[in-house]
Amino acid sequence: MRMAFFSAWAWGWRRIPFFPCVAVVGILFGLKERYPFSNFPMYSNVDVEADIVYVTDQSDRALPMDAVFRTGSGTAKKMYKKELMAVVGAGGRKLKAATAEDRAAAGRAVLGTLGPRVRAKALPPEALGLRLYRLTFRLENGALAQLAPEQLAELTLSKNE
Amino acid sequence: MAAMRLGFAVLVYVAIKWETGAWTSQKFPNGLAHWVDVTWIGKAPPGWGLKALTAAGLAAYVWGRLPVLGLLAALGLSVVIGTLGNSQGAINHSTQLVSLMLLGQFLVYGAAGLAGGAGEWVRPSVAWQRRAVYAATVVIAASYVVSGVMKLVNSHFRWLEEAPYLAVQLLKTNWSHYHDTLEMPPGWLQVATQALVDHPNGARLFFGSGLLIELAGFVVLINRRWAAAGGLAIIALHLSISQVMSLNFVNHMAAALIFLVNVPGWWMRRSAPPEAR
Repeated sequence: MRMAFFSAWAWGWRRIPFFPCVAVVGILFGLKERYPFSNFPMYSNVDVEADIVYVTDQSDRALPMDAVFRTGSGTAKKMYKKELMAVVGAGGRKLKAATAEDRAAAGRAVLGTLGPRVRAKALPPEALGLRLYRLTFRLENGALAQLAPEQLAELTLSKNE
Repeated sequence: MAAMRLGFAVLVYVAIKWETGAWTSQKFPNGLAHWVDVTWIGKAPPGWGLKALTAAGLAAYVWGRLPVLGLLAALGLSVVIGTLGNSQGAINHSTQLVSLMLLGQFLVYGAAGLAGGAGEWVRPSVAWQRRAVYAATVVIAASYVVSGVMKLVNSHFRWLEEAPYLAVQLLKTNWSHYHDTLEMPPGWLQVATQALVDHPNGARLFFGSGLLIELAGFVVLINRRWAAAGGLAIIALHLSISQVMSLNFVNHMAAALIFLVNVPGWWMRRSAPPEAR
């Protein structure tokens, strides 16, 4: 009886076109982001607004993040989002309800991670501190707009960094 | 198939992010890191010993001998390092495909050993080698299909309608790239971004063709010609993304070139006598 059930199941399964591919799609879809598995959701959430985070020195001169931190702006933005989710999630709120103080707390956490990664050789000698900014872009009334950057956090560099 | 294995072995070795020194914690655990502490690989980055062991194992895989043992070090390091990297708070999608292809082939060779005995463990037959290649191809196809499905599901099937909004993402990634390198994006890119806003149907056509390539990824499993055509389409998709968004999926393009386009396979087919084609 049990064998008959499995045989029928296997018979039906093999009649699905490209069944190994369908099976792997099902596994990836179900497991989501659990390395090495991924549902590859890049750019699946399309919105009229998008933001980046970036780092400058204490005088607002942009720093080349790849060279200075071995971490790009895109990765820093993902870290910021994760930290922000942790901050607002702890209060049982949604990401869109984040306050300026929540964003600053997440920014401090990101800068706290990036600070120790500074490569002294790549850092301009005049840079004595780091500032983390968030820059938002928006599509409104058929035009692309860029909002004023929001400073999230600031860090004074020690001589070791 | 040996040429495919050689290409894949090189890809695996290059794709593994050996420089793990910056990752000494797993603040936002991902995958295996929910149960196991993988920070040891960040605190003691792989040295020449582990790299040589991985290379030797991959050499055995290319040679077609002891592939389960040969792929073990590469698979283990690829998964552990990838897991730790993705446990830093930022999920990166550059190495999952290679790790999954490794896993798929590892499982096929394991099944060969279990089904065929000692001989298949040591030197898998051509039939099992073909299944291993097929497993890698299935992983590539499924990764693109699921990415297309996610676009539809996450947007409540409005992705194509909302595709013109991707102009904002283009602007975002180009500014992001500027802050990575302090190099300004080329002028034509700003014109192209505005053009996507001004011509929403053009944007739908442009991004929609990319979605079609993803959703139709399964066609690479039909036959060699479909695989080559699909592989070239995937590479073209990534090259265009690279141009307009500065997002370089080099590992994905290499995987498509090795397993789908398969230039050595076509060359061998041309040189074979007609009855053998």
